Amino acid sequence: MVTTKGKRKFVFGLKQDRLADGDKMNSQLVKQVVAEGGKGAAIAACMQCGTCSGGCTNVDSMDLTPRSLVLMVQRGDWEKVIKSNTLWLCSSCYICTTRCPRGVRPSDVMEAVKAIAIRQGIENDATRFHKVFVEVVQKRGILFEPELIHKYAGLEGVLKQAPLGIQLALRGKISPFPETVKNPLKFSQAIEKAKSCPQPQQPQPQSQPDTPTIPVVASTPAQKNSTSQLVSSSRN
Amino acid sequence: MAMAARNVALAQKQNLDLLASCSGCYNKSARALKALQEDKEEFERISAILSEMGLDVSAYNIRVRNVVDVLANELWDTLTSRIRKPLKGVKVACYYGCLLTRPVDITGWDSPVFPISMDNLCRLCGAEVVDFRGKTKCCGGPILISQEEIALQLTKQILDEAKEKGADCIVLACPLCDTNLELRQADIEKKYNTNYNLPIVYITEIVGLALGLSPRKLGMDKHIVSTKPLLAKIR
Amino acid sequence: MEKKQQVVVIGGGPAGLAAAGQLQSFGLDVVLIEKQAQVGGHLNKWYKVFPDFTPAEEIVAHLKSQLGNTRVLTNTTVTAISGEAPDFSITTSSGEQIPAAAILIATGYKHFDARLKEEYGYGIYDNCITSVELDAMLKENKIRTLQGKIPKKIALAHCVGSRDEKVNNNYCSRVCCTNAVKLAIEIKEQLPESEIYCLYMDIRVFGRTYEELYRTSQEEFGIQFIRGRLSEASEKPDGSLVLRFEDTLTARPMRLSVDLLILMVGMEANTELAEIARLPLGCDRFYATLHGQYANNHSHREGIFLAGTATGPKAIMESITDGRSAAAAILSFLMQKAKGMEVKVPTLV
Repeated sequence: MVTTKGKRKFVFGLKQDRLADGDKMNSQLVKQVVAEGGKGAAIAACMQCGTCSGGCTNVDSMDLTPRSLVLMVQRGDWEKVIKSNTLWLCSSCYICTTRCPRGVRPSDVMEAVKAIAIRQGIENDATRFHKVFVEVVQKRGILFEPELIHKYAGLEGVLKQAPLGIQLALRGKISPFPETVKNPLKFSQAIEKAKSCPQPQQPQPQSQPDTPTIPVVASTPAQKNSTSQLVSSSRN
Repeated sequence: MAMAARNVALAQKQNLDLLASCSGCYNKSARALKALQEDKEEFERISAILSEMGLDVSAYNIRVRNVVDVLANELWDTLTSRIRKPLKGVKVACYYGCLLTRPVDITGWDSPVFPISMDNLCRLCGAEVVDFRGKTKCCGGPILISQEEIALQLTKQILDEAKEKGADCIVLACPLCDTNLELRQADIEKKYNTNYNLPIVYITEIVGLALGLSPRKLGMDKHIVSTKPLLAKIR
Repeated sequence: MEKKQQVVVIGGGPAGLAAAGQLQSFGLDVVLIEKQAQVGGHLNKWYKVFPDFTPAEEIVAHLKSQLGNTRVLTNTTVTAISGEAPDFSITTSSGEQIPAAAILIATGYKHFDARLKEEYGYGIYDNCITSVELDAMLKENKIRTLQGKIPKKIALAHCVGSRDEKVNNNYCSRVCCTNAVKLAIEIKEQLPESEIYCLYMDIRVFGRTYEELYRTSQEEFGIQFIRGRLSEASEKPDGSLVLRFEDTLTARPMRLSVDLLILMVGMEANTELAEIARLPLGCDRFYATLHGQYANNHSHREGIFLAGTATGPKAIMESITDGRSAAAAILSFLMQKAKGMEVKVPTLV
């Protein structure tokens, strides 16, 4: 065995072997996704035929095809799922859902997985946009586009979109002044309620110490390589 | 879900079907209605939230419809008898997009692959409908802000095909698709150095023109991409 | 047996023909009712039959030669069945009343209507055809695109109308995989220059020597098998097609242009007699048998028996065997009835 300073190195200089550790596979993630997305997010019936990926609008740009994403959820590989750009490239066009021969609804699975990811604090342009969108809607009960752009893209964004905005305003397509629903307070209270609404059958990983839990994925650079750290530390 | 359910509940309170002019709103509302009608657990969860807003509805028997569905399936005969100005010589490409006919278990009133109700409406109005294969391709609306480049590419493909097939305009039934196809048309032209000048009109505008309503009343002058070439063909 | 007993076989495909031949060899009077002008059923459309490339004509000729004294009524359908076993009376479309001590229903299947898979463009795109149409081309030794060209690249899409919740057919049609392998070989024999791709989800070649056929298709004919279900097809201006699917084994989306797309259409139940014979159907809409393990030729009604693809997808060889097995079940039933014995059939639970 080639060992240096107590650290084991692989013979061909490989840092990490490709052997998947089947014992680490767990069904927690599937359960959590179903708890989040309801029956629509059930994926047990998937037979990996790839019909979803084949018809997918944006599959060319995705690093995991929708089928692979579903497979990773089934295998419980949260790291792969959360790191993939697939979630954020899905344009919810429902072609996959319309065609799936086993009645799986990949669009709904994406939504459920995204919701879990957002709750775990993942951040990117897409989640920021969703967050800002909800904030703006929550405030007035209705959307006010200039405010949305300002919050999302800052003053620069507003200026970039200003010519279009002015054109639209001149044609009476958008109002330069915000509107509100009749009782915005009650509305936003209800949204708060919906947010805090307990998810049914949410698995409680802590209660079962033996079950592998879904690792919270890093959003800060310091934690970014959590996979490799996990792997190397387990080898020490 | 609860937010979409609010609109459904408001409609149910007045015992009226809910008509959505946007595909996304239609889809989400129809989905909420389906959950309220068929999923007891969801019904309980949503009702609790609606209750907080002061909305209490015990049972749902209304329907969620969209503009094309209603025009084609409810008002067909009425329209047939009232066409005053058939749109002779106008070539249109009917664009349905994603959420008008997908997924089928929620929509179900026309094919998710080759829907034809809008085509039929346009033919009824006297227009010529081009064989538009991209009619249910995605325009990328939902990812427009966060994945602009990819969204614009998707939109471009749709504009390209319509142009290639010689359409005078694209007819659609969703404001978000319109945002992409019309408001971003200039961006796409600039980015890919092309020229479309392709008017994007809502289905009711086409029907309105055929009924003989004045273009001004229909707001044809409020488009960002000028509809003048299209209107010139009609006169 | 005192008086000769008469058995009516409805359906003159492989199962019905085999059953009629066997029944008459037992000394029974047999009437075979066939809706078409010819007996043979779907066999009349086929070129050769897997796994050994027996010409379909040869099979029909053989089965017909076994019919003996069987009375064959072609261009005839059954419009009513009255009475109970062993005294049935069958009314035919020609108005004739035929007495029957037992009835065998071997009415076969229908092909899945490929137009329902709209994303494949069957009926819209010129060069998207079904496996049935390909067999007709093979018979003529003339595989051509609609434009009259010799196709260079050909794809066979498995599972069209089978294993698909979206068209309400959850079951596997069982024969299409082997049939696709057989067709691929036949195409390659007629057009050695062509490249052939099979788009499959699982290769289900289950019978004796089927696996060897699959292997031959790879080793000797170089057929490419791609694991991915066809998602959509679109037409190019020259009439060729672009297929989109995922090559799931490399986990990458794939685009493939072909000159000819062949849809391996599955089987659907033909249950025209369900109401007339008052027979229940299974969840797959084929006729329900009395027991899935040990009474597969018995229907839920005494004296009415089932054979062939009426009870679910089967290969030709299986249908023939099933027809003969039904004949044995019928003979057993009639002998027990004649002796006044209580008939021992599995009871419904």
